[in-house]
Amino acid sequence: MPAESDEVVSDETPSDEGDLPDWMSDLPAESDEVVSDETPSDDGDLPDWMSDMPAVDEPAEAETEAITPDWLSDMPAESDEVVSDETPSDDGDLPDWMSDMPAVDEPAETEPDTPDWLSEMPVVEADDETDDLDVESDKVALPDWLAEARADDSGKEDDLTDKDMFASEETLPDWLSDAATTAGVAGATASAMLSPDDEMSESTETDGLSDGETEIPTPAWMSEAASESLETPDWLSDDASAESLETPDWLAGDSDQDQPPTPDWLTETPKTELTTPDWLTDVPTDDTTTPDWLTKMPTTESADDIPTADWLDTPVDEASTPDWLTEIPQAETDIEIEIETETKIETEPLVEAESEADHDAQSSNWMANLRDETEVEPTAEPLPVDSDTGEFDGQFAWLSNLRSDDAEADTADIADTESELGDTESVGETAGLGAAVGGLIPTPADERIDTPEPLVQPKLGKTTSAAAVGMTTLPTLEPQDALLKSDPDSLLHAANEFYEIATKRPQPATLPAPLTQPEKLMGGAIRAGLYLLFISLLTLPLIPGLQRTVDNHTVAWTEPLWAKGEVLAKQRSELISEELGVIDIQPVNSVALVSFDYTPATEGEMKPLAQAMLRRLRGQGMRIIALSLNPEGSALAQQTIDEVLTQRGETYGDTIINVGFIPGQINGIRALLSEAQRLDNLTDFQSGNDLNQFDNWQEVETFQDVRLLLLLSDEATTARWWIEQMDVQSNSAEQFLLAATSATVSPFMQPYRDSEQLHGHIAGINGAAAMESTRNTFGLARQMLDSQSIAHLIIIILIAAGTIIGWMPPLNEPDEKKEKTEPTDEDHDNEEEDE
Amino acid sequence: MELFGTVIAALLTLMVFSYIFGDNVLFKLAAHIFVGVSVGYALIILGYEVFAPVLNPNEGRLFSVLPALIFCFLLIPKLLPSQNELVNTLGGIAMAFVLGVGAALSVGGVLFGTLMPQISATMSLSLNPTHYMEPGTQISLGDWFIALGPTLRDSLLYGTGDPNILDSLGQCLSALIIILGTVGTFFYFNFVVRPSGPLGGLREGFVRFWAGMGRIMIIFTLAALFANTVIARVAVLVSRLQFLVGLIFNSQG
Repeated sequence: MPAESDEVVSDETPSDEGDLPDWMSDLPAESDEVVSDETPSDDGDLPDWMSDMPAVDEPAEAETEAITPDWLSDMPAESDEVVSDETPSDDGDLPDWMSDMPAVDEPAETEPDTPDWLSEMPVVEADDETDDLDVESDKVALPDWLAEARADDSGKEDDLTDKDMFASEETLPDWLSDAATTAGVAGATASAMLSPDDEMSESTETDGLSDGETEIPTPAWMSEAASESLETPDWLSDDASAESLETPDWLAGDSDQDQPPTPDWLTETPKTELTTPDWLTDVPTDDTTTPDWLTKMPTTESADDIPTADWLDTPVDEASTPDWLTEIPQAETDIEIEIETETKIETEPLVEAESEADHDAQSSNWMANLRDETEVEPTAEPLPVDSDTGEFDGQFAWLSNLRSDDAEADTADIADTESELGDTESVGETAGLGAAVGGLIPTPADERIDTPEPLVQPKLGKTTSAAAVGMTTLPTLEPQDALLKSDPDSLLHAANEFYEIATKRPQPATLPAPLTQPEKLMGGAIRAGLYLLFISLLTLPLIPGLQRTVDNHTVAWTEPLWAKGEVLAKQRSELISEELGVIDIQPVNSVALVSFDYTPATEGEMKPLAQAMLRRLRGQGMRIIALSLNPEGSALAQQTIDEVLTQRGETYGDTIINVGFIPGQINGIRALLSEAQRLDNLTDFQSGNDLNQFDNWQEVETFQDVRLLLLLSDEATTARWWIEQMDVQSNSAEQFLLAATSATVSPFMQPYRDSEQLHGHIAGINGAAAMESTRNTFGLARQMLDSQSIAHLIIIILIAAGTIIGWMPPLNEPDEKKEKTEPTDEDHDNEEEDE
Repeated sequence: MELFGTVIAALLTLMVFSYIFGDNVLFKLAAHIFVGVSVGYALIILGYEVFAPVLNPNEGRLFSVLPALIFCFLLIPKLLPSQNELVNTLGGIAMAFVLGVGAALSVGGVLFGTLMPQISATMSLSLNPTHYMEPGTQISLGDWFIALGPTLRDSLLYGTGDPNILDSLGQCLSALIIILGTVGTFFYFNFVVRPSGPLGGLREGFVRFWAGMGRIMIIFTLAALFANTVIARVAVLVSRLQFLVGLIFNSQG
């Protein structure tokens, strides 16, 4: 490829070392030697790296092969149209990988880029044939595959002249023909490339070529190179025979053949071809294009004649050998069998996919369309065998048709097909048959997405055409295969379990069998008996005759006597003094506002408490104004007040007055506390008179005249309203807030008590009993203590028993109930009828 | 009349107790009577206590409560089955006024009457037991710990001991529980995603620990609420039994 190399060299002029890449700057002497044509004939002048090479041409060829993709170097005859379309002088048309190439004729520069596997093999062969190098230098100078090919076509090559050689290059693109002749004209081409004048003439000649001047098919620089090739440099003429300058047989052979014109899609879509793996382009061509290491391995009659590389000859440990290496066929028969087997495996999924396309249009229509467009009919055809040698011909008929029948391969159709494939191509096979045609043929991976069977049946790895010619088959595991390979049993088990769950018939709810009428009656009787027993036990302490009497004073059974009784009395006294101590400091005739915020539903608990509190307040000589935020509370308040007044022998209105219901809930509280609602405007619940109409209440006008606010509440909300609004509105430090609440509200009031927002708080029957105890009276609260204690004891016993039974292991259910829970055939029939 | 009321009350109480034998008509009748009487009584109270004094021309407070009365009358058409847009709008204004004022008062009360005081009270808690000693007691923390051992021994064995030490110990433990419960409850309601980063595990463990503490505190609180509710309802039951027993034995007496 002189054109590309020319520009590359001109761009990377070695005069400026700063512009040189590192690998190139490290080799100044080598470049000079090549360019100046002063290639030393003496090996002693060669650099070390070059002296190790078997011949000058060989690294050049190897380098060319190493750098140039095989597919590109192997199709010279088909790309003559490419030459005219793609002018090599246009650097912008070059692919990146090609533009990055250094000069082809600088073997030393490109050697580091040679792949290891490729660079090692010629070296190995050179080492093996070191002795032959002196005797048959021409053979040694050529790569094996070229030497063999020339040996096969020796008659043709002998007849070739320089003119014929270049005439054959008319069918080649310039860059390709140059590549073919690079080995022979390396030094001359390099000197020509380095000449700016020649570069100009090249472009001129290229333009002339594009005009169809077939008489001058080659540009000037090329003809100069050709003429200079006749003047072979010394180093080249010494080391290489005249045959090395001639066109390789593979090139000559292609030129001799009547090759059909190159299809447009091959010439116009270089990127697509760039992605084509080399194994595909190697297969359909003749044997000469096959790399020697590839063709020799399976087709040689005796394995001993094969110059194998060290890494192939080295005995490989089975444990460390990859599978694909151990599967390398050792005999021809084995190879053929494997070829047949793997070819079937390779083509079977496609045939199956085609058959599935007839039945499942949803999944395979696009596959069938693609095949129609590309007219690729991959079938399990027998291996093409050479009639003469009986060996594998190296190419399939359908694959050859795919290449040669370019008239049917429309570039536009391919482009459309590729665009239709879209992302599907990305999930396709990358090293298998699908990749060979650029993803046009639906890969088995695509099919496996639609079919559920592969989930439980891991397939073999896809074989490649390299396998068809005897190469090791590299298993290409699909994602599903990878999962299955990691733990196929567990995945299969999970899939089967999911299938069972998904297809399981819906089970009826396991409800207990309905009780019969006698069972219901018996259960109800037992429950009623337990309730009655519970109520009876609670009633016993309330019966007057069963109550304990000490010193003509009725005392609860649960209250201790003597020393412990004194302790209890002390504790109660301390409780009352601590919680209700603020009452004791209130002056006589000071006003206490008592809010009866409970309903008849909790009267049984709240009434003793309210009575005890009213007595306590009246015992301190305070006047009481009763109100309620609930409509029912006013009547309850009145009832309680009447009872207290009766006990104390006082008259209603003198010390206690009930103003009744205060509407508005929190708004009413706010109105009272903010003095928007004056107390003297409130009316008496019984008489309906204003408060200021009573004689003892003349000076009471607003809430500021109140010293103490007592809450009798059975719910936390109303108590919190009072507390919050008192905290916000009341600025007087001489106003106190007490709460006597139900036991239910007690936990909610405790934080306010701890924060001193409540100056005192008692709750429930126990609080009321404590107040009665301090007054040494046996009131309602103390009478209820025994019953309440019995109730607590029974509740504790029931909780303990229920917890024990709940933790006990369940008894075996009767078989009848089990049968009830399981679906019967009748149930199934009914379900089917419903469906 | 009083005896009649007592008998009615006793009958209604027995009708409610009939639920022991299952759901029945007597129980339903008593429940309906209870609800109906409560609502009826509430209406009577409202009319008698609220509207009658205001509407009484002799009171002279009609004009002062006229806006409130207008709002009340605007709410009446909302009870009608067929409503037009105007009625809905006017009734909505009255409803919005009531709810808006109530919400504002509630929010203000909760913020300044509950949240801020509770935060302040919690922050003022001290874990130093000497702070809970009686005023005038001069004792250092080390001396308090030295005196704690003998006090606990005497309290457990003989029922004696320094009450000042015991009280301070109890208040200190109470403060500790309050702090743990408050912090733990806050963390329990901290719903965040799993933290990332090198300290994510540490943070997660920290949050999980305190959330567990909060969960325990919430469980204890709910258990206390339920237990107190049971106690309250048992007290109501006992009061009803007390009423029946008293009715029976007083009638005999």
